[in-house]
Amino acid sequence: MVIGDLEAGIGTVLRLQPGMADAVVVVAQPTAKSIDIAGRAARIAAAREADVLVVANRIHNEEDLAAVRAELGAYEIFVVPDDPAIYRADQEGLAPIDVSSDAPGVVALTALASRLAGSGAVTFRAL
Amino acid sequence: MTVCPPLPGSDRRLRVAVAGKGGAGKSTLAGTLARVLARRGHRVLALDSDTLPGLALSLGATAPAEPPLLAAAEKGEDGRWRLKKGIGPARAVQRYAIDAPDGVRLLQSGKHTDTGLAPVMGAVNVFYKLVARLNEPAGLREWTFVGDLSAGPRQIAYDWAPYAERILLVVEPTWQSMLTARRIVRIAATPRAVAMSLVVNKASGQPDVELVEDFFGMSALAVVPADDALRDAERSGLAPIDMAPHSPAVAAIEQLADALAAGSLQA
Amino acid sequence: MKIVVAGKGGVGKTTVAGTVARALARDGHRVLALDADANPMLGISLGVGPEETDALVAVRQGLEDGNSEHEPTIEGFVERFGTDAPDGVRLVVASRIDQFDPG
Repeated sequence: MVIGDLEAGIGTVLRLQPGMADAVVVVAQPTAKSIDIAGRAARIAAAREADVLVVANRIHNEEDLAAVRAELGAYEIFVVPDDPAIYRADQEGLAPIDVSSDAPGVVALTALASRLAGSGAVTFRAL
Repeated sequence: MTVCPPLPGSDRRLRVAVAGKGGAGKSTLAGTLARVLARRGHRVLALDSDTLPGLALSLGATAPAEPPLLAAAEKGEDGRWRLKKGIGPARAVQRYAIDAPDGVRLLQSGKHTDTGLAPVMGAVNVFYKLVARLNEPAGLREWTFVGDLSAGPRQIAYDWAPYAERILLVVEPTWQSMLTARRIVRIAATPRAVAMSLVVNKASGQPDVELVEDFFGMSALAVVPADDALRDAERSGLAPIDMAPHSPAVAAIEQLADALAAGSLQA
Repeated sequence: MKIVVAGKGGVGKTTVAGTVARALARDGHRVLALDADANPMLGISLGVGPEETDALVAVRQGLEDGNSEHEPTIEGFVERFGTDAPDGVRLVVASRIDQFDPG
């Protein structure tokens, strides 16, 4: 499985050819700016035949989630709450999964991983 | 809100560029700082080099759908974009800048459309050309510039802020943010003398501040606390200075403006 | 399966990509993590460590600077420019911060 961490913005999804990516995970925080960009990225990715999944990151409360849903409700949304384990990981330069594999944020991302692995054909590139 | 009478002399005008990792809070800081300085009597030009939306929201400005600078651009015989005849930085600010509250003028690069940057490449190109010449016109000499340098180290390397006399490095208390800022410092080590100052953003207490200060071996010029009121403003897409003028974060940015003014008097 | 992670700068793409990569690897998949950001940080979210991650960029540049021959195969590229991350994830930094494509 190949996971590509793309450069920020929509420039890179715009350059994706149909079939280049099987799934595009669009990440948004509950801010107007990031939701706008996420919406655009999702539309562009869907037009390029990729399966689009959304991560709503650093969600504090219902208003935060509602803001993300308003723009991205058509897609499957994985909610990553504001997670002290991830915060600690960032401060210490650690992988969140190493700080705690059952922190709520990590659990949500593990569920996303299962969803990705379970969808469609899993091809192992000859590496 | 205190309104200070303008001080005489060009020493008081500031030339600041805000740099840092994506998401560190550059546009929010730049936009709020621009409004604060304008309220103190500066003539402020805000510069938005991002090809995605950001600074206008933090300023409380409404950006038109089509970038104004597109009208200032034309293709020459060689097929390259150039400024139309008679348009230089002063005229561009006069005609093609967007109005923001408190008299701030905003010059924006072209913004991505759903088909990409191609439709607005003219605006992107001439924005870069204008930014390179902002120090030229006598008419802009007294203006304060607050520029938002988007996207990490890249724009610093291309010298997207040749007007800057001070670069504000906005750093969150995370390793990603600190490493990026360190890369920026290394890349920006140019012969041209530009002061670099540290701003710790989204700090949740003294340990966060110490984490960043220890990493850089320097004191922060300002510390902007993590702030719920600011979060709410960000969620709504409103300017923090309008939605939460008395919040701790805005107060910290006002202190930053004080520190910049003190710094410029000493320079 | 090819997965890409997209979004505005700072929203947490790298944290998501790194954590998903590790979770998939723990679930038994062979995972290649590709850092295509002009400012590579994926190593940190994978658990490689911050200074290591920073050093990786330098290694990548150094290898390319010292050898003008391009690596002809993907396998070769991954072998030469890849590094091991926990749970068997292979990390490749696909960018160079001193090389910029305008726009």
